[in-house]
Amino acid sequence: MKIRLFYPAFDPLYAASNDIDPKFRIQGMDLTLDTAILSGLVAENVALTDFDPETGALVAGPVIKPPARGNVRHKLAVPRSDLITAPKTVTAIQILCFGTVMRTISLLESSRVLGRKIVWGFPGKQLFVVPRAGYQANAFYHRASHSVQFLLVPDEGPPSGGQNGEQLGKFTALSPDIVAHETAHAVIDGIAPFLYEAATPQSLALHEAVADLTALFVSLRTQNFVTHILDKNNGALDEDAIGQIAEEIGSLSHPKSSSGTSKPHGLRNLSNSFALPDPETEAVPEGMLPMFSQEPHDLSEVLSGAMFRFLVQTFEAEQKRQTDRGVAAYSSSGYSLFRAVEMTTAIVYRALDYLPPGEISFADFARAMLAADKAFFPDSPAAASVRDRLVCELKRRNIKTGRQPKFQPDLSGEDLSLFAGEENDWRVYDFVNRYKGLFRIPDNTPFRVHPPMVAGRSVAVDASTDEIEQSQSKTARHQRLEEGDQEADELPQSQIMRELILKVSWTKTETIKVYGRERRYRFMFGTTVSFDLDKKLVILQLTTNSDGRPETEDTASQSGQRQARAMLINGWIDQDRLVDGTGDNSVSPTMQFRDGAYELQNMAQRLHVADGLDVEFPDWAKPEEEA
Amino acid sequence: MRDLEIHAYNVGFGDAILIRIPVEGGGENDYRKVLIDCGNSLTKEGGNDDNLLLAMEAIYALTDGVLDLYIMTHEHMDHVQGLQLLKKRSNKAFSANRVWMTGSSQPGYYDTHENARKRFDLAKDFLNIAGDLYKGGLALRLPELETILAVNNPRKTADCVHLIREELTHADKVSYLNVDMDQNDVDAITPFDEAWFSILAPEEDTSAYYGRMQHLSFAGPAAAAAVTETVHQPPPGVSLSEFNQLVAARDRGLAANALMIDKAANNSSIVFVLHWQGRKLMFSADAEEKSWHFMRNRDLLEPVDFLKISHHGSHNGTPDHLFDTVLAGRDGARPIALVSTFPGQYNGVPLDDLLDKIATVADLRDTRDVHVGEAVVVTFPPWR
Repeated sequence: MKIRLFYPAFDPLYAASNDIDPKFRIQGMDLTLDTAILSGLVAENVALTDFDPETGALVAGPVIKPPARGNVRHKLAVPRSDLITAPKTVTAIQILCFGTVMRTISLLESSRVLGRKIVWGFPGKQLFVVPRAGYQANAFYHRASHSVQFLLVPDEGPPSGGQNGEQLGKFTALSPDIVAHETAHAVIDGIAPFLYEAATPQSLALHEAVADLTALFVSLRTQNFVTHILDKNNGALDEDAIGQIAEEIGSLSHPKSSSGTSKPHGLRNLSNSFALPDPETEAVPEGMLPMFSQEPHDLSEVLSGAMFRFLVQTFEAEQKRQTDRGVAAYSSSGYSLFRAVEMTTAIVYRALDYLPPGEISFADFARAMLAADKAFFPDSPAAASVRDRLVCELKRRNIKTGRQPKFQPDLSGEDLSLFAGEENDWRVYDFVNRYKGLFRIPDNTPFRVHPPMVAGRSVAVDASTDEIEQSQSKTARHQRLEEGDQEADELPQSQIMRELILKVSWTKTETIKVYGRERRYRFMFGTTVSFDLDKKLVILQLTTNSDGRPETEDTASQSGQRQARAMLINGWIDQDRLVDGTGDNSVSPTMQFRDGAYELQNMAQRLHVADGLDVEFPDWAKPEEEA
Repeated sequence: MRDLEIHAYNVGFGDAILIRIPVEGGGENDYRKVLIDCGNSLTKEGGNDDNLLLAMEAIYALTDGVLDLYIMTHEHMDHVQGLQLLKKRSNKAFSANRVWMTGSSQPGYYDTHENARKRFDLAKDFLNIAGDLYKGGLALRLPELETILAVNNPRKTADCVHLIREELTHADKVSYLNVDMDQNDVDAITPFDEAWFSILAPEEDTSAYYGRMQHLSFAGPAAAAAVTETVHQPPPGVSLSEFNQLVAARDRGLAANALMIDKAANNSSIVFVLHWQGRKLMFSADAEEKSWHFMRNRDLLEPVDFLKISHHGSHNGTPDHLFDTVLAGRDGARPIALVSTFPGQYNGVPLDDLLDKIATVADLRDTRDVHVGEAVVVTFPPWR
């Protein structure tokens, strides 16, 4: 099914303060799906469920019209012009919120990024999109209810008090950054569900950093926004403008101080200079600011800042290459930005796919990114310089990359294709058991094999950027991609590699002091091994098992991370954020006592887009006092 | 020396605990009489007034209606209702030499504690909106709200608290307690010398007892009016069971907010250790995790001979760390733990797994082991 959808191209506050023409504030896109989207906006993997915030009643979603005769494209019954003139009607909010979710997913599923359908981190097929979930300057992904929930900040009166059907208040559902951010949390949970139960600050910060980066990627793949940004600076990037996340809602809440360097507006600013302080000396490289906070939102800025800087540098390098060839900076800017965003998105998301089960340090993620980069952008001078740039930026942030362990067993006698899509298949267990060294499974330890994943991903063949560029009309391709046409997403010089990703996990208990008492906690460890299915080669091997690894490699299972984890657990217990749990455990992070040790659950449930806000009861919503 | 006696009555879902302390040099039936709370929860079988009345009559008969000390631990119907019921139904009134009430029950408390007032007002708003929605039809989706609303009914509670404050004793014999009180001041308001009390809770500023509120998911007059008509059918193409999980999660947020005032009131419970002849007997009323957290941070928790299990055996009432402190046993002796409870009133209360666990380290006594209106009696001789 082909369908035309829409989403906001700008943050509402940014659009207003930069006087963006209303007709450019709405971005159209064509989606081609294997299955239909029904009226009400119900797709196979995403469904709109809009509840009236004043009554709690379910409100029907918009109608979809079949294609006109001779046409193949379905359309919404609401014309684009209505969304432009009245973007805050209930229907417009539904359409624009759903559109951003679908845009985010389509971007991440493309063969240039994940190369496969997203599987959710909950036992269900559909992610529910709740665009008016309640009153607060906040939004969140909630695994237990399979939903992304977007809240609103009402004005003086109830939201329904507006004229011409427009709602009053500020809606997080209309912030493309926030919607992409929360959608990303859901996607990440599907890719790396173990991060939801993790307790090292860096594991939780990783969730947050990738969600913020996803908001950035979506905005930089939004044609109207990109055109505006590049026009504004004659082909250069306004880093402060693109680095701000969710200006409108940020201006309301400002919950984060982040050592005072985040600019006004925006919940967070990815254009930053934060680095991890050296564990021994607390020093950071020259020109950088130490991030002492272990609060996941704060900490995330170190990683998101690094990848933001990498993206900008990649853009600048590409643009320089073009200008060296005599192309005007402005003319080459769109393509250069497209390349930079595409590459950064692929590296970040493919790295997520490679994460081994367990708790993850930024260093673990860095190793996964480098592995992803090496696997899909094979050796060439151009690729090496990109890799150097990434390593250099990570180093500037004190994120250690360490060495990539390499072990290439002879797999010529194995039929790896048998494992595709099989869960709990004895053949997979048998295979892992025979290659326990490859999977770094400790002796005498029961292990679990996660469902194998098979992806078909495009790999750049050994072609230079010049050749790629010459082979197609960049403008036409760029235009098609921005319109959401995935078929344009295949470079002629790329080929699809069939890849098998196997993940294995096991648990170990560790002692943590909570209020001076030693308690046993159970944590997950594991390994990811990825194979080129056709060549029967190991592409990468990553593990959270630090046994035998030098302390300097800074894995999540090493002492610095363990200390930070103990502090986070103690702090959250102290703040009533982490409770001893029995009964209903879906509302907040809990500790469940099982088989002599505590297990942590729903830790990432605390990762609301803006943390630390309290609830205020609007006067008009106050109930009558009991007589 | 005769034994000290603890009489814990089966009132359904609630507390009514009478302590009889032998009067030094007194006769066979000469006891100091301390009544800790009396009430039940108003709703369902656990709130059956007839059962509470039976217990109240029994206590009245055993004390002749005259108490040395009445302790109102906190303002919940399942802890305060009994005196009013006895007066209404049997026209009998207790008198007490001294009355102790939790600190935040002092008239004007919220005028002088702004943070506590803000949190209390917000929690009250949530309770009221939950009440409106419940009446509007939410009962079908969220039946557990019934007990929360009944136990926290502000008007009925106020009447009962008023009776305790105004009618049991003279106004100058009523004291409001918190953990910061000097021991000398506590001794000064203790109406006998045979035993002394150490006060472990509540905190003076009760704002500390309110947790984080969930955001508002639906609120306002329109919500109450609409909830009856609101039939949740998923949009076409959406699984009914998955959609119901979403609706239930929204409702749980509402219930959690309504429960906030309940938890804060529980946490404002007076928690004390009664020291008698070397014995340490701990009464924790309905203290939940937050209150235990402060007691632990103040380093007030140590092994006791007797623990009245908090909050009717909920998991919130007995956090895990109590097994290493109050339930650890003194000099190798197993403590006695007593639970006053009734099933089916609140979800997960009592928690059988928890009671089983307590029974592994303590001799567990349970008000459900006796008929309604009767008491489980625990006796203690002086410490060896």
